[in-house]
Amino acid sequence: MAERAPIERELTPALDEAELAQVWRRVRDVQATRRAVPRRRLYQGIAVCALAVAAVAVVVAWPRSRVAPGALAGEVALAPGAQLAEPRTIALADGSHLELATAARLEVLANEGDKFVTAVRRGRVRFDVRPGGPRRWVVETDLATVEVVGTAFSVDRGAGALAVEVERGVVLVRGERVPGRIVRLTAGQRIEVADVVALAPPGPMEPPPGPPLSVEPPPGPGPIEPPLSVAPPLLMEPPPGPPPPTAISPRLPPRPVAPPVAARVPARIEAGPLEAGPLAPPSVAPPPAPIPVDIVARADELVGAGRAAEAAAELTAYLATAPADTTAGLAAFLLGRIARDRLGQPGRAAEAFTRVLAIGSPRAIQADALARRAEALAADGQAVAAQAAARDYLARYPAGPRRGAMAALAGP
Amino acid sequence: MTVAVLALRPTSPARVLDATGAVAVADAELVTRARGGDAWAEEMIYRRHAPQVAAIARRLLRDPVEAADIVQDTFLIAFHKLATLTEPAALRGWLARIAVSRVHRRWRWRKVRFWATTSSDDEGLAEVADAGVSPERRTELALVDGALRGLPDKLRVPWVLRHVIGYSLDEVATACDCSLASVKRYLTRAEEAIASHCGAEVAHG
Repeated sequence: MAERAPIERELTPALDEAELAQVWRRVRDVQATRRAVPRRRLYQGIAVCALAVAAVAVVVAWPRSRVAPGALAGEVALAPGAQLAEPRTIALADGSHLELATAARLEVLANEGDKFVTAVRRGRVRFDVRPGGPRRWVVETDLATVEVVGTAFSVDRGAGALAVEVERGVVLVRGERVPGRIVRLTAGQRIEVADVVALAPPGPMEPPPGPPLSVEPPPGPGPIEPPLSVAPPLLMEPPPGPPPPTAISPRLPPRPVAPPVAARVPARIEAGPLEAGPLAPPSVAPPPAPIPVDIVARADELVGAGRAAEAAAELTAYLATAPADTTAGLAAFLLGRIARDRLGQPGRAAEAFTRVLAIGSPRAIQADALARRAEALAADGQAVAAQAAARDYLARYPAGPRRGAMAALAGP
Repeated sequence: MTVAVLALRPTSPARVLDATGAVAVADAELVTRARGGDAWAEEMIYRRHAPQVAAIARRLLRDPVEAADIVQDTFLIAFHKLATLTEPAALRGWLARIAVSRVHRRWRWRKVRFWATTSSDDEGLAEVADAGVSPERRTELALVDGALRGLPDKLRVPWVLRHVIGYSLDEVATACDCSLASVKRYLTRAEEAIASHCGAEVAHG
């Protein structure tokens, strides 16, 4: 078995120094507790705990009780389903605090011994979570999920966007619209996830100025994690078989009416000092401008809804006038895949992949496009061209992942 | 930082040199001291091995919060059972074995929990890749990750320890509590499965 460098070297640290130090403090605390309790007291403690567990079991089984065992208590009722509204500061039993700004609305989804899950329905809520607590804090919004260990941060679900700011510690923000689906924010960093916006019906699309599907780097020094590259679903290698059931299909409008279309809008990550002072009312972000990558997202959704021919038609129309940029590369690649895999049109697929290669962007899919072009040409009966394309692939990417298939196509 | 602290501490003849040439205390000596109740030695053991244990936990569980719990459990168990460690120099593999056993336990909990609730979307290798990793490499990681998700635990754990964390075959055998021959067999089968998966993915397009 060939030796290779561990993949771990290419990954972000499993736990950073602060997290490891926090774990070490917990280890020390547990050890100190164990050493401080004499064995006789330990047995007494076990008996007390057994009684407590029995008592909790009775409480849980009590039909009127809605409070889970070990639930977090506060100045107000925090049972699942509780709605908290504007503006107030709520002190919790573990030392944590919630601060709701004007018009903010927070709902408790789960409150148990090991987790406290809330949903920010609207407005800005600041969470000051006491580090080292036993509960896993999760803040849900309609655009992303925020996971917390011990930190202070705020979640602002304004009109048109979600903003998460970290004052202290680390949070993880997950969501479909988050770059790479997950972002790790440290103190001073902020992410804005834009809302779904309505676009004009399909037709010739004018790209606005500026690069599509990009995430702005922070103004100051220091890396933002994770690396900010996003690809539409079909552009990454999906598992074989039909597309998985997702929430995409219901978003598609019925034909023949040309309705608004959901657009994918990039998230913004910023680093820098956070605003101090009292919580401001929820900010109203201006609706983001449509961006040309919408055509790829729309086509992807159409394919997921079984309307591959329409997707191909829209991509073709877009490519007729599109500039030779990254979005056009993605659109051509997707068109090639649809034509080859969904429509059984290898000739059309070969042309689309040729367009991808001519555009030369994005770079990450060039090798794949070259291999797919060779296969499409072969499927279209253009044996000589397919052989040439396969040899081109082998020459350019001698260690490429498709080298086996290309070697078979290239022949002796 | 560790080196500076160590330089101020009395050391026994059992010493090793670290990469900077400074004197560092060997694992065996740290174990001996920790068994004698030396809190400093316990902390040194933690500082030296916690990152590896965290890596094992996170890459197998794919969850940073659960990984932190595993690190805590592993060192609490290790310090509690340090007297049972027959070969103090093999501390690293022994800690890995504890961590892996705790990960298995966590997986069993997850199966029960997910039966009653919804599953969580865990993080893949591509998602936790460093900022400098190229898009092509990121795609490869995603491909490998997809293959790993389909592997049984018996094959996945040795492969992750060997190729993600970078453990030696002997350490993998210790961590997985199986023979060296079994580890080699598991790794070979995992490699075949991953190659097959990647090939199928690529062929399917």
